[in-house]
Amino acid sequence: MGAAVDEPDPTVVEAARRGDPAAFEELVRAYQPHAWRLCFHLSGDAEVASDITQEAFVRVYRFLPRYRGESKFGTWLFSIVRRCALDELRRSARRKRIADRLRSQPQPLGRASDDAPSGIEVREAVVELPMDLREPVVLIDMLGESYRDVAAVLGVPEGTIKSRVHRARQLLLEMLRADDRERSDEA
Amino acid sequence: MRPEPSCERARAALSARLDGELDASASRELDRHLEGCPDCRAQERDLRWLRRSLRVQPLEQEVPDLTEAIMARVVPLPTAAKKREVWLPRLRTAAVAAVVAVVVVGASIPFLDRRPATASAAEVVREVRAAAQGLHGYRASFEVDEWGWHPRVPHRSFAADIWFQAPERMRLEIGDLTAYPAGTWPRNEITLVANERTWWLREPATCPTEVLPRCVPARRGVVETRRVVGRQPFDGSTPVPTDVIVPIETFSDAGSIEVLGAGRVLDRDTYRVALSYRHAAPLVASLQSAGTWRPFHPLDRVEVWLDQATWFPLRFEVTAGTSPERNSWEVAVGVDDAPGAILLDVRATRFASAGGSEPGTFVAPETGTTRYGGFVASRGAYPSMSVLPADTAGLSPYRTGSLGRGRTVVAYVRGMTWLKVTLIEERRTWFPAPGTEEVRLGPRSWAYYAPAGPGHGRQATLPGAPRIVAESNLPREDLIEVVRSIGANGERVPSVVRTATATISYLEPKAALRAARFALAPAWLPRGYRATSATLTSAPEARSLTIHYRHPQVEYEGTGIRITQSRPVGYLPPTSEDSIRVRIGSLVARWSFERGELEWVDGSIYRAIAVPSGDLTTALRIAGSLS
Repeated sequence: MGAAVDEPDPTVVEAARRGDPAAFEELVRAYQPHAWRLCFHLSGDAEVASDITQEAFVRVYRFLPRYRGESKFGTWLFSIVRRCALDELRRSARRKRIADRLRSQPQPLGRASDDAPSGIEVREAVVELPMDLREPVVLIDMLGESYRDVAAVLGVPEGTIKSRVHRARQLLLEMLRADDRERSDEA
Repeated sequence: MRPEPSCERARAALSARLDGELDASASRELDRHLEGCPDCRAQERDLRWLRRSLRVQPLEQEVPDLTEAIMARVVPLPTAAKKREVWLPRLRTAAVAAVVAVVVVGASIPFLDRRPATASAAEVVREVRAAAQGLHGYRASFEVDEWGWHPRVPHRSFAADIWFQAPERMRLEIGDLTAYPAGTWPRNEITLVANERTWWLREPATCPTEVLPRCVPARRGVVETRRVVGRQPFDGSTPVPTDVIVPIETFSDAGSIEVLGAGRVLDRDTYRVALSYRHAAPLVASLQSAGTWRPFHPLDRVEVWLDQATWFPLRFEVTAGTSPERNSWEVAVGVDDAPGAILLDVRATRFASAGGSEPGTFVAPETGTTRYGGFVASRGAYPSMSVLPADTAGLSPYRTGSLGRGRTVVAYVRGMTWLKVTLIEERRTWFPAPGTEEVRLGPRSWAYYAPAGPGHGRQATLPGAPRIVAESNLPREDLIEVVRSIGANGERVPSVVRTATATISYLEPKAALRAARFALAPAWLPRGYRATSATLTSAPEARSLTIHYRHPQVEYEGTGIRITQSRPVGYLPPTSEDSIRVRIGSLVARWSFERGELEWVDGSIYRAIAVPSGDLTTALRIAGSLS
């Protein structure tokens, strides 16, 4: 399960804003695992996720003085993480690395040809989705966030999130079915 | 091919319903569309499968700890160790526990900062299920305190150690730390080692002379060692008691549990959940599957502290219930408990989702009375037959093999969650056991379902050639979906059988009540129980209706509740068992302890309520609600 994070004590956030490294470190410790998971599911690559997470927290530290409690701290932090993820993923160099990595991933053991796709393939399919559909489905279906929270982080209405999740699911099913057909053709 | 516009709407509604966002009337409209649209029904199945696959994402690697790297970039510090103040005891992560490999499961922990003080019962059930699918390894130690085992040994204490590797490797060691009085008291020392092929158990001999003076053991302090080799996957006769690790059987039904709030154990945040022993038996019994322990009454209260991050039970406690007939039960089983007294207290002293265990942990010794399980694994690829499920609920192929005599076993697994399909080539007609529920899968296909119990998981059978039996610790709904995806039809069992003296009809419970107007139905049943099967027997001298009421997920106390009503009957059949007289309204009834049955005659109608756990309070409550 994800790191269960308490609402940070406002004095901690205040101290971190003022530059107290110990306070900031506690915030990092609390939020970093969940942030990494988000990046991992968006990018499909553990190393890329680590890069993005580190970059994101550097930005959090830089922008912390500008946080004035207008939204929940977690929401604010995750909107930064997400922005970082999007920025990184647009860089073609990274995308190529992901494509290479995906191609070289070994087949899971013990699978029969007409078996249901494994969890790894579902995850790979998610990374193939266009970003505006990928984000909502990762946040809602994989990380278990609520529509309200996701709407707050992405800055779009809940209705938009719902329709994107619906379209993402349809697209995933199509991709996975096509993969199946392909495989049974090869078999 | 573009789907019809009504299908487009339906599919959007399906997605919404999956998220719990569809109101009742839209849901009804959706169901109407689904009734006539196989494509959309297939879509619903696919969506559910997709959601499961997305939610349950075991991570092959750890979530890295990037804190140091981040801090190094943000606040350049000298390399000397920095003094870290204990700033914020409340702000913790799962890294506090000595976790080697964190298994990630799609979580419902929001990045909204406020963690809810409690979870809902439905959330607990859902998350425990998900945790089971993501679990690969486990290691823990517990302290166990037990009260009331024997008048001369009022308190006992034990140390328990558990090692587990999904799906079937377990080692359980229980050491007895009790200081017994003088005499040959059996030390309750237990070692259980199980792996895919072998199951091995060493426990005290079941003949402790201090407790049963008339039994004569061969030697003093004797222990029994038993071994089974060639065991089939997930063999119910050689159980691997995993509910103490992730309690999926105990927390299989939201209606049976009550979330009390939050708590702290081992400096970790937990959810406190209460339930009756009747529903908690799988958890409590997992530490007590061998050896000698004191008994518990079905209505005794169990409280469980579940770790919020991993859902492991870090502590559980059994306290004596206060139901009126508990006194007579105590006399019958030989204990003496004050109401509300603590009977069992189990506390974890350390735990971890382990990455690996020392070699030899799961290797079973080659001693003991050996029984051969008869399973021969086959190494080829999985048979792809239409008699196997197309939908395995996200589980992956695990092992397959033969049990001889025309029986083939095919098993699937994901973490601790398992599914086993047995194909049985057999000529004889198969009849379901009493209380088995008939489930219609399709226009020409029926399945026969029974909930999980002490020796077996949930089971659904498709009669036919071959007979297909699917057994699993998946929840009932998922198991039914799996069985529905099998390409073969389940033949309907004949519903009328004529013998020389009577005609026996198997009916749907509501239809049976209509056919036998003298029979009454209970307005109250324990949580989760519902009517699953009915048998109407017509003979020249009398007609008799028996209805079984069962809990859909788990029953550790027998085959459910059974209500039998017959007419005309003049008086109660005699019994040689111990019984007491009990009042039901203006009538006098007889309660037989051993059978756990309450019987009376009402006018010329005989009525009997059997509650297998021997719980008179429940039987009386049901009796009072008959109408």
